[in-house]
Amino acid sequence: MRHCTHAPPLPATYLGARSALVALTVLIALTATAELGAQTPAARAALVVQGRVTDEAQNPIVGVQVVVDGAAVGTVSNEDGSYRLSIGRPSAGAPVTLVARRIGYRPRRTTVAEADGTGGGAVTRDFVLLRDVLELSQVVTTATRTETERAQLGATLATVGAEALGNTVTPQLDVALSGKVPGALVTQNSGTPGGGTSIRIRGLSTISRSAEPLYIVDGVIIDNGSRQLVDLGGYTTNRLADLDPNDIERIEIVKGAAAAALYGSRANDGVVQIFTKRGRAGALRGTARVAFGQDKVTRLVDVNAAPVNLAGQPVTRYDYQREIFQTAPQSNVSVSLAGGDERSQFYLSGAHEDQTGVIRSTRYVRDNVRLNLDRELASWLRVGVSTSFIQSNADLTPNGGLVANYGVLTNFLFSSNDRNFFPDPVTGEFPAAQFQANPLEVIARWRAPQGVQQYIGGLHLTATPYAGVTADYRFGYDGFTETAQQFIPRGSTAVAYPTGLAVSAANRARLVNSDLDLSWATQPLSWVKLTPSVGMNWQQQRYDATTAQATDLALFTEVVQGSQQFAVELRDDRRTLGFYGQLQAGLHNALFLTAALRSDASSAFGADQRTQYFPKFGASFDLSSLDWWSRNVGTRVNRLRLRGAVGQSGGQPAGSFDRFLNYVFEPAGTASGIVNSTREGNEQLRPERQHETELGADVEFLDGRAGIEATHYDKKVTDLVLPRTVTPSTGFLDQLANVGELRNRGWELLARAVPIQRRGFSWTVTGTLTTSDPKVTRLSDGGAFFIPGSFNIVRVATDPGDGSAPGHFFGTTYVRNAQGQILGRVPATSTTPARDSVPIIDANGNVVAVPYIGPRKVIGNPNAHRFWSAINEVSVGTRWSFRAQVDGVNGVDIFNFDRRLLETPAFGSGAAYADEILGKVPAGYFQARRSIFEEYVENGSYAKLRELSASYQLDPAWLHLRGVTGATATIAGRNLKTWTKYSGWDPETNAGAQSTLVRGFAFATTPIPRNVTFALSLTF
Amino acid sequence: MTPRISSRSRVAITLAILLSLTGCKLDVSNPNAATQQSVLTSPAGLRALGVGLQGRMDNFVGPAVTLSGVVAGELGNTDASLSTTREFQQYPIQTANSAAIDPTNPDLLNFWSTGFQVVRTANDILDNVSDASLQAGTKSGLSALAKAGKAWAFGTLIEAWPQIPTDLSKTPPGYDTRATVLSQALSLLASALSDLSTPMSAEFTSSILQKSIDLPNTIHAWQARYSLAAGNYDAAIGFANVVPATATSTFTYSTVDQNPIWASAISNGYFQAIATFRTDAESGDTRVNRFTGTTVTTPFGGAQVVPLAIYRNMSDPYPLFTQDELSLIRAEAYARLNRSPEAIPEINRVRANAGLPPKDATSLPTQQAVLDEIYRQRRYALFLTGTRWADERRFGRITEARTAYLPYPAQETIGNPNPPTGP
Repeated sequence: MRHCTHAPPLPATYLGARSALVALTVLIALTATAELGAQTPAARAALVVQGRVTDEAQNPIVGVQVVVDGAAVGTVSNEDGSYRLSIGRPSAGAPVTLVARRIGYRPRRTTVAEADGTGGGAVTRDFVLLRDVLELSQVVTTATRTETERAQLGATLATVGAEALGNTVTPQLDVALSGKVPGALVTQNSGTPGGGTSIRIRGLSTISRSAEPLYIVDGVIIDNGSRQLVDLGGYTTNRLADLDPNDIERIEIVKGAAAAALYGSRANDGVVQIFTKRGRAGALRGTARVAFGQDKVTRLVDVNAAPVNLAGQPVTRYDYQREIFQTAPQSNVSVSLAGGDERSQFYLSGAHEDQTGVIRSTRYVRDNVRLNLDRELASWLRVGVSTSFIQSNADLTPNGGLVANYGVLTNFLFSSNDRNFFPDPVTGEFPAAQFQANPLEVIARWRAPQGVQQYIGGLHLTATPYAGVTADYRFGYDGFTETAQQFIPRGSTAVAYPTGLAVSAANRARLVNSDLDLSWATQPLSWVKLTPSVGMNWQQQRYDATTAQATDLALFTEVVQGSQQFAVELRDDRRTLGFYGQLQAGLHNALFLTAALRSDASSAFGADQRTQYFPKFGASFDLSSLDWWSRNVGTRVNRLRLRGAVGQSGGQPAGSFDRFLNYVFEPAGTASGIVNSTREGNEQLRPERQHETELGADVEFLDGRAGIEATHYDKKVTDLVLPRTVTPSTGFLDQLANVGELRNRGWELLARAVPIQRRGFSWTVTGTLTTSDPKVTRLSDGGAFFIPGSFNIVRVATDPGDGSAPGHFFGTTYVRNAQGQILGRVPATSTTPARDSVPIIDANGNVVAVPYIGPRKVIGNPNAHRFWSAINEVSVGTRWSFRAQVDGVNGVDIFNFDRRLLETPAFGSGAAYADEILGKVPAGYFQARRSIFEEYVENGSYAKLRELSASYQLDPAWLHLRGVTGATATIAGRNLKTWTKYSGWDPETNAGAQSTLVRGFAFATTPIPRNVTFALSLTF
Repeated sequence: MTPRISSRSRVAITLAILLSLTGCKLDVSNPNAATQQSVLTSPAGLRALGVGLQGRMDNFVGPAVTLSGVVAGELGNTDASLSTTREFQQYPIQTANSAAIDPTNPDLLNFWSTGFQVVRTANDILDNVSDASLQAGTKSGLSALAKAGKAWAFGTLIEAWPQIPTDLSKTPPGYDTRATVLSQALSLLASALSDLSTPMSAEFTSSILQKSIDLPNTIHAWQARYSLAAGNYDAAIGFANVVPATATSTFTYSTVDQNPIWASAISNGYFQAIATFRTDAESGDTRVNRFTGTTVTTPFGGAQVVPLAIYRNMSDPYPLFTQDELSLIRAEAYARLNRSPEAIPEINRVRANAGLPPKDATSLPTQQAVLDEIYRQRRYALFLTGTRWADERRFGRITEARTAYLPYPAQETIGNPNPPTGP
C-alpha cells in the first residue's frame, strides 16, 4: 500500500482516468472505422476457410464460434450451420489452428496450413461437435482473469450462454436468469415493469446487508443496490434491470466462498460476471430484432358479492380490479452491428424497449446503446473498451409499501367494495374513499415518474511481454443518476396529504474499479502445469442522494414548491483495496489444485481491522482421464470428476460509516445543537465472514449424452453485523457489532440428457434442483428481534425449528384443544347463554363460534426449502425449435396480508367476508380472526410455466430482403400458468421488494403478469 | 516496427502507468455527521453540545411527565380512531395498564434511556469543557448547565426506579441507592452554583442558554425540590426562599423542537386526563378548567377520561419549576418539621392562585390535615409537571398509583446485571 501515499488526490486521478478512457474510446473508434473494409498494409492475400458445423446426427448447429486460436479472427455459424472465415495467410511451417466452440458442445480443433490454400479458392473444414452436457469444457474467466476450463475448478461455476437467454423474450436480464442456474433463486418481486428482482445464491448469507450478489459487467463492478428514492411501496429496482439481454454473450455465476474468495470482502452473496458481445475480424455481421408482446394479470382475487351490507340494506358492489388492471402492450426493437479486421474489432448495438404496465397509467421505456471496441496496439499489447449508455424512464403508481401505505392496490384493499369510486359525472371529481385515497383517483391524477441515466465504461489492457506471461489491467466506471418524483395533487382524496405532496429525489452514483492481474503459465515438468498469479484490485463507490419534498402545494403546482418544504442529502464513500496471490497446478492433466489468498482493506472497517485475509483451496480430480478407467468402466461411465473446495469470503458492513460514533442534530427551542447518536461507534467492525465447503461430482454416461452434476454446499457465516444492545444508562442504545452467525447447507443438482438426437429431431431435457435451509445459530445478547418496517411480524431468532429461520413470521395464533380443534366462544343471545372453549367448527362443518386470540408464536418460514426447474428443448427438422421451462419453489410460507385486509370487517372487499354479512358465520367472527395472524400464513409453494416458446427459421430468400442471411420468428409465452394453493394474486412477489429478510410478504404488490410475445429477428 | 524496447521495460512502463491511476486512501471521513473527535475538541462543538443538552432535557420531559402521569393516575390511555398507521403500532404504554409492566416495553426503555442521554451529554461537556478554548464565562455557564441537567436527570429518574447508576464510567455501572443519588444531585447543584461565581458570559446567555431559562434560580428551585425529597427540610426551605417571587424558568419549544407532551397526548392522541381530576376538585377551583376539558369518554371500557386543556400547542412551554411548587415545598417542609402554622400561609398562596378561599388552623387542625391539603394542592397546582407519582410515594398514598416503581428495562440488565429487587 506504500505506493499509495504519493498518489495525487483521488478526484484528480479519477477525472484523469475518465478522460483517458474517453480519449481512448474516441481514438480506437477512429482507427477502427478508418480501417473497416480497408486492407491493413501487412495483410497478404487472405485465405478463406469455410464449412459446416453439425452435431453427430448431421443437424446444423447455429451460433458456433469459429475462431483462429489465440487471435481475434473469427466468425459465428449461421442457421444452417455454415460458416465462412477469411484469415491471414499462414506462414510456411506454422499452420493455423481453428477452434469451433459453443456452450453445450465440446470444442473441436483443426489446422489449416499454407499449403491448403495453394489451389486457389476456399478451403473446406467441417466440424462435428460432440455434446458437452455438463459444460465441463466451457472456458470460464476466474477472478484472476485467467481463462480456465470448468473441469479444472474445484468449485462449481455456472455459465449461462446467450442461446439460453435469447429465447426468453423478457426484456429484463435478471428475470431471464430464472431457473437457469442451480443454486440461484431468482425472484421477481413485483409485476411492475422494470420492477425489482432478487437473486439469492445458495440462500442467505447475511441479515443486515443487502443480499444481492456482486455484479461485474466486462470487468466493471457495477452497482448492485436497490434503492427506493421515493416511497412507492415495495418498488425498488437494481440497475441490472437496465442491461439489454440481447447484448449478453454469457453470464458466469460464482456461488459460494469456496469459489469467490478472490473477490474478497464483497463476495459473500456470490458474484455474477456478465460478458457482452464483442466484434470479430471478418465480414460485417448485423442483427435486427423486433418484438411485440402483451401482459395480462390472470389471477384475480374473489371480491365480496353479498347483495346487502351488514345492516341488511341492499348495496351495489364493484370489482375494482377490473379498473386497476389492464392488458398491457409492449414492444422492443434492437439492432447490432459487429465486425472488424485482424487488428481492430467492434460491436455496436442499440435497443429501445417500451412496456406498458398492467396497472393502469404505468409504463417503462428504456434505450440502450453499446459500443465495444478492441484493438491490437502491438503484437504483445491489446486494448479493449466497453461503453454503454442506458436511459430508462418509468411512470409508476404507488402500491403496497411497508412504510407509507397508500396506493392503488393498497386502497383497493383498504376500502369496502360497496362504495362508488367513479368520478362524479358532472364535475369529474373523485369521491373520497373510506380510509385511504380513492384508487381510481390515484391512477388518474397521481404521478410518479422515475428515470435513470447510466454510463458504464470499461478499459481493458492485456500485455503478453513473454510467452506464458500475461498482464491484464482493467479500469471500470459505472456512473449513473437515478431520479424519482412523486406528485399528489392538492385537494385529492389522499388522507395524509390533503394539501398535496411533491417529492423530487436524485441519487448520483460513481463507481470505479481498477484491477491489475499478472499470471504466468509454465510447465516445469512434462506432467506438471503451474499457473502462479498475483493481482490487485481497487474499488471506490460514491453516492450522493438528495431528496426535496414539499407539502401544502399551491393549486396545480406539480413541483417541490409549497409552504412546507424540506430537503435532505446523504453521501456515501467506500473504498476497498485488495491484493491476491494464487497458484494453480495441473498434474497429469487429471488432478487440478488451486490455492489462493486475498487480502482486503476497506474504509468500512476500523483501523485495527482494516486488512482482512480470505484463503481458498480447491481440488478437481478427473478419474476418467486415467487409463484404467477408460479400460474398465469408460464405456459405461464416460466421465467422472470429483471436486471439492473450501474457502472464505467477506461481506462488508451495510453502511460505509457504521464504525463511527457520530454526533447528530438536536434542536432546543429555536436553537440547534448536537448530541451523540444513540448508536455507539465500533472501530472493531470487520466484515461478515463466510466459511464454505463444497463437495461434488460430475458424471457423464450414455456416450456423453447424459450427465449429472451434484454438489453439496455447507456454508457458515460468522461475524454477522447486527445491532447489539448497549447498556442504555451509558447514553447509547445500540452498536453495530460482529455478533451473529448463520448456517446454510444444501444440495445442488443438475441433470441434463439428450434422449433423442437424430437427423431432423433432437430433444434435450435439463433439470435442476436446489435445497437450502438457512438457520440463524447465534445472535447478539441471545436476543430475538423484529425487522423494522415489517409490522412486527418478521423476526430473527435462534429458537428451535422455524424459529431460527432468518425472517420467519411470528404472530398471534389460534387456541386449540388436545384434538387440535380451534377453540372459541359462542356469544350470548337473548335466549342462550355464552359458551366458552367450544370448537369453532361444529360436527356439521359450520362455523359456530368466534375464535380466541392465542399467544404469539413462530407461524411461518418464508425461506424456500427447495427450488427447481425443468427445461425441455426440442428441434424438429431444420427450422422448428421449441422450448418449455417450468420453475418451482417448495416449502415456503407467505404471509397473506392482502387476504387479512380483504376480510377485515371495516373494509370487507373480499369474498370471505360475505359469509358474515349473510349470517353464515357468527357476528364478530372476522373481527376476531383478523387478529390471528396464523390464519394468514399460507403455503406459498408454486410451479410456474415460466417459458413456452416456438421458433421457426424463415427462408431468407423468401423474405426478399437484400443481404439478409437468416430470419427467425419466435412466439413465446412467459408465466402462462401458475400452479399453487396460495389464494392471493401471486406467490412470487414480495412487498419487501429486494429486502434481505422481509420475504414472502403479500401486501398490495403488483402481480407478475402472463406475457405473450412475438419476435422476429434477422441477421445480415 | 518501432525500436525494440525490452519486454521487461514494457511491463514496468505499463505497471507504472496503471498504478498511478489508482488512489488508495482508505481513511474516509463521514460527510453526513460530525464525529466525536471534532465535537469534543472544538469550542463550536462544545457550544453546540450545550444547546443539544437542553434539547435532550426538553425531550426527557416527555416520558418523565406522560409515563409517570399514567402510572400516577393523572393520565389515561385513549384509542385513536382506526387508521392503518395505528393498526401496526404497538400501543405505546398499553402494558402500563396491566398488572405487570414488561421489561421489554419500548416506552419503559424510552423513559430510562432519554434520562441517561441527558447525563451522557452533560458528561461530554463536563469532561471536555475545561480544556476548550472558550471564554471563562462560557465555560462556567456550560459547566453549571451540565451539572444542573445531570442532577435533574438523576432526581427525576430516582422517582421512577428504586435505584439507578450514577457513575457511568464504571463497567458495569451498578445501581446506587436513592439516598446516594439524591445527595449526588444536591452536590452537583451546589457545584453548579459555585461555577456561577464566574458570571455567565453574554455568549452563553445569548446563544447557548434558552432565554426562557433562569439558570441560577432553576438551580435553587431544584435544590429545594431534591432537599425535600431527601428529607432535608430546613435546607429545602432555605433554597426555596432564595428564589425571588417573580422568577420563572421554562423550556422553550418550537416547530422544530416540539413539546413532547403535546406530541404524544395531543398530536398522537395517546393520552387524556383521568376524569376524577374534575370530579374530585374543590368547588370553584379555576385549575380544573385551566388544565382539562369537559368531554368524558371511556376508551377500552376502562377509566373515564377528559381532554387536556394544557399543552394544546406544539410550542407550549414546560416549567422547570413554578412559584406554586416552591410554596408547596416550603409548606410541606414546615409541616414535616411540625411547624404547621407556618405551612398554612404557603398553602393559601397557592389556593389564592386557584381562586380558592384561604384555609386556617381551624380548617386544617392537625399536621395530617395540613399534609393532606398540601397533597391535594400539589395534585392540582402541579398537574402534569411529572411530580404526582413521587407525591403519592412521599405522602403514603402509593396505592393510588398503578405501581410503586417501574421495572428495569431488559436492555439495561443485559449489561448492568443484578438490579435491586425492591426499593
